[in-house]
Amino acid sequence: MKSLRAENLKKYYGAGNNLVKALDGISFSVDAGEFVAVVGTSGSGKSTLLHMLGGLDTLTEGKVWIEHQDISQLSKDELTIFRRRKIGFVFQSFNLLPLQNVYENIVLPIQLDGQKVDEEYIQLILETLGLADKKFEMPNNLSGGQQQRVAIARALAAKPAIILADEPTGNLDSKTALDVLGLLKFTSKKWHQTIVMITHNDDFAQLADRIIRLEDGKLLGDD
Amino acid sequence: MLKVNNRKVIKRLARTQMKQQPLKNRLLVLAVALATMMLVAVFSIGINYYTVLNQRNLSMYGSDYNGMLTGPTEEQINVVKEMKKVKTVGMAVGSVTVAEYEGIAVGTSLVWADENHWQEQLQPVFIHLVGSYPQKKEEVMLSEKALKKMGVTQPEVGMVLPMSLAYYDGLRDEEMILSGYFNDYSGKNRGFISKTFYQQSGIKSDDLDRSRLYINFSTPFISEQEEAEMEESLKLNKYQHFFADTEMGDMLFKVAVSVIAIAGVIMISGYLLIYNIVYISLRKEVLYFGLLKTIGTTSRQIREIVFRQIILLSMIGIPAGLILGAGISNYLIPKLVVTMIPGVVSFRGEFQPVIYVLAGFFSLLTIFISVAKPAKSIAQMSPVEAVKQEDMGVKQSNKSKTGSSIRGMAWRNVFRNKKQAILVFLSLFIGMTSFTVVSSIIKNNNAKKILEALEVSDMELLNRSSGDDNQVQVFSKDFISQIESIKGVKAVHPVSALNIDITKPHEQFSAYLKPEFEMAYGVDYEKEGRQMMIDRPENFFGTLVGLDSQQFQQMKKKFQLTISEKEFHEGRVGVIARTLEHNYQGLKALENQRIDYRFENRLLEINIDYVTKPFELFDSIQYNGFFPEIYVSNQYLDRLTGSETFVDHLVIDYQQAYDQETDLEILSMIKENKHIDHESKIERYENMKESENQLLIMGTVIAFVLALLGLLNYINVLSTSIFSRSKDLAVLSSIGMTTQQIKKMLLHEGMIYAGISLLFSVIVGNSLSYLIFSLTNVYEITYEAPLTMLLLLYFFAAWICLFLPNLVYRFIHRDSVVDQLRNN
Ligand SMILES: Nc1ncnc2c1ncn2[C@@H]1O[C@H](COP(=O)(O)OP(=O)(O)OP(=O)(O)O)[C@@H](O)[C@H]1O
Ligand SMILES: [Mg+2]
Repeated sequence: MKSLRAENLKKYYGAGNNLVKALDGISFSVDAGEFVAVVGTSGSGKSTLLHMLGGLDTLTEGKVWIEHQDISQLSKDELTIFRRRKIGFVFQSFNLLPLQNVYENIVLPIQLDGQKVDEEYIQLILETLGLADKKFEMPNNLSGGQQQRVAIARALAAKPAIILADEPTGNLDSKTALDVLGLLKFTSKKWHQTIVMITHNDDFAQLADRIIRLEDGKLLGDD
Repeated sequence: MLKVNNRKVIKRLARTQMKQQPLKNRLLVLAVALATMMLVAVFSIGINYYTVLNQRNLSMYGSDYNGMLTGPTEEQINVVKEMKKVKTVGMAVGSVTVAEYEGIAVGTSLVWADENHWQEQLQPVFIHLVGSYPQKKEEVMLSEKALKKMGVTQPEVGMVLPMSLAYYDGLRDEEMILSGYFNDYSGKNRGFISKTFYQQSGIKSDDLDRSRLYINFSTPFISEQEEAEMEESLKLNKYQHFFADTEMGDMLFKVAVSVIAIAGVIMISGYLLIYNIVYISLRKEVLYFGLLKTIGTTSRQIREIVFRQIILLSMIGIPAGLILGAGISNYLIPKLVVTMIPGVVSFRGEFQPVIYVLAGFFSLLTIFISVAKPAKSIAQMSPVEAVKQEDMGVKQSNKSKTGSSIRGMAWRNVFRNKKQAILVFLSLFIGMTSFTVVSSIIKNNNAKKILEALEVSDMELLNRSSGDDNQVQVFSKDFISQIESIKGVKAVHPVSALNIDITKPHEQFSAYLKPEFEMAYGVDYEKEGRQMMIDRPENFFGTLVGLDSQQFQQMKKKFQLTISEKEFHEGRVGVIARTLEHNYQGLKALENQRIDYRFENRLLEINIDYVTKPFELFDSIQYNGFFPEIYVSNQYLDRLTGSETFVDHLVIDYQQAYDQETDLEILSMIKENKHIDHESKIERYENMKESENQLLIMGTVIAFVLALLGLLNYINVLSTSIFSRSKDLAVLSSIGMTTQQIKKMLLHEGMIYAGISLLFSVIVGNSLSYLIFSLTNVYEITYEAPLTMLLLLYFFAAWICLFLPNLVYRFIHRDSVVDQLRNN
């Protein structure tokens, strides 16, 4: 089964002389349980691609299917609801909510959806990510690596169809970065979790099942 | 270390940085100007109020003193001079009276004033003075009023005035020379003579009736205790009278406390707003300051940058506030002060620089206090801290356990920065509470309400000749029926009056006489009063006041009388009215007692059924004898006199209260008649209305500005907080919080702000209003909350609290989530 399918994605910014073709006709798909890395030079359109896949912004052209849902068919609020059920985000700057503790940050998407929290599963995630003793800590009291692990836990919590991660290790030192990546890879295998991850680092990309290369908004290679 | 001249850099840094936040600057100028304006208004009310009170006292007493001793002995004068709180003492002795001038009866008393009395106590009262104090025996100085009474309209210094002078031992004709004349605040008919004259007049300086020692204390604060002690130390003889003004200090104290309290509220409101604006703007600039520090700007310099900015802004805000305040003070306050002090008819606000100095000083003080703390904390922050910490002053609570329900999140957002939240609550609370108090004061000072409480009738026509020897019966039966025939008139009640002699005053009024003599004549009843009554019986008469049936019925209902109308009409029973605090107890004893009186050689008697309590009955009866009026019926009086009894005044009821047409018709009817005076409820209402409007405008300005300061503070804090949270909101959106859920959360935040501050304002504001009302309720009005105003305020405040968060959110929400995530 395909977790994600992108068809002829185009995203243009500006107009006339200032026209920027951030994405210029990109098509690809990701299988369920696959761990895909997206690489490319700065400004090649990686973040834009990820935002489009996650429905954070509207496309100029093209279609994105997550599982069987064509997300361009959804209204803004439907999309938000879809996002909290089916998509997990991990950002470079961890983007945790400062007033919520670790546990609250993690279960927030589930609670926003009005669902009952699967405590056992959350506990399992916390333990897997080595956060069990930080459960009630406030984000500001955590190190960068710990914060990013909380962000990953939050992305996993709703058992989404896909996790989209934009340079999750960009703010971390190389050792911590490897730890976090290892965990990502581990969770991908353990829970058969589909992951699309952007990275600058080719070594990190090698950990993925597949690498997608972007250049000037176009797909350069898919191997 | 080398002293580097870096003023210029600091100046430039301050200026460039200021340009970054135009909105903040405007808000600050507005806050400073509003606070300054209100301080000017409040100080000016206070100071003018005090000045007017003083002026009123001057015009009442005719000289500037706050203590007095009658018939002082040498020893007593020395004791007074030695007293701790005494500043000056002055002597005045009434030596002689001008009885006649060219055949005109005058009755001007001529007084010798010593140097102190003349210089210190009389000068402040004079409006203008020509000539000089009499030096030679034949010289005299007179007030313009006295000269006018003598028929001298164009006085000249040096003119010869032949007059008949009444010495204590008889009349003598003398030629006096006018050494000067004056006009003073008291407008009294009086004059002065030289020391030589006084010495030769034979009046002693301790003459009880004519000699007075006037005292000025060094402080207005004299307690009744101190007054008693002074009196004690003077060892007065039985006829001497000592008085010290203990009320002025009280009054001054009350005025000062009110002014300080209101100024305090204004300063706190101003402080809260300015503090928050500065605090928030510095928080936004924390990174910038951190950078400045890393490149070597010292804490002191940073503080200087902050203060320089605020001083620049104050230089616009304070003068603007002073000018606005001056506008309010000069147009509104003089009129306002006149309405607050009974007995003062006009008052011209003087330019009092001290008001502006005070207001400027206090608003500057407020500004410095407001800025000091944020400036200090930003200056002392280490560069690392500054660069790292973006949310200055936010204390993270560790290990929270509240769930992350939307309500819980809203609650936490509100109290994210506890101190700031409390400041916002406080300023909203103060604003709304002041508004509540002021509008309730205005509401309950409503002219119509007061007039209803006083039971003022629609129109009263008064006979001007009532007090004269030759009374003119202007309200004849014809006249009355003419008035009755006017369309809007419901009823006309003639009130007649008749002088009678009380035949057994010493037996029947014994309890009344003692306090009455003390108050009215300042003498002891046993020692002098009794003799006075025997010597001049014509001064000690009583009055029967006649009412018609309807008025009797009203009175019967109001006082729950048990007497029948028949008894009343037959003149068997009456009601004693117009009692005062000091004589009420004495008169109360007369209830169910018989009183003997005489009218034209007929000996009569009447039973007293009821004695009204002080101020229970307001009436316009114009000639009051020494004894209180006894209310009987018109029919009875007519029978007694055998004709139409003299009608003192008419009480007229309208079909419809405040009926302008009927009022005008009656007024045009009496226009030509010089014997008739009138008191129209509409005119009184309009007079009161005018002052009420001024109170309304003034109060509304103060209340509105205080409420505005609170709301501005809220708007400022909340919008900044939402702007600074825009990234959090984007994160929430990225992890699946719908717009609706976000709006709901923000609405909850608004509800928390509105709920808490409204709750406290409603409770405290209304209780405080009621308290103030009960403490100042002289007219026995029933309390009414200003419902419309309050509901408007509460709705408006709630509306702002509830919808502002979403309004701001809608504004930032125009950016896409991606942009919001990126913008940080
Ligand atoms: N909101 C926007 N408006 C205009 N241009 C934009 C916008 N967002 C992105 N771009 C442009 O689109 C192109 C792709 O940007 P994107 O952020 O996707 O690059 P990236 O591959 O993620 O780069 P990096 O590795 O530096 O993060 C860039 O040229 C960028 O300038
Ligand atoms: Mg990027």
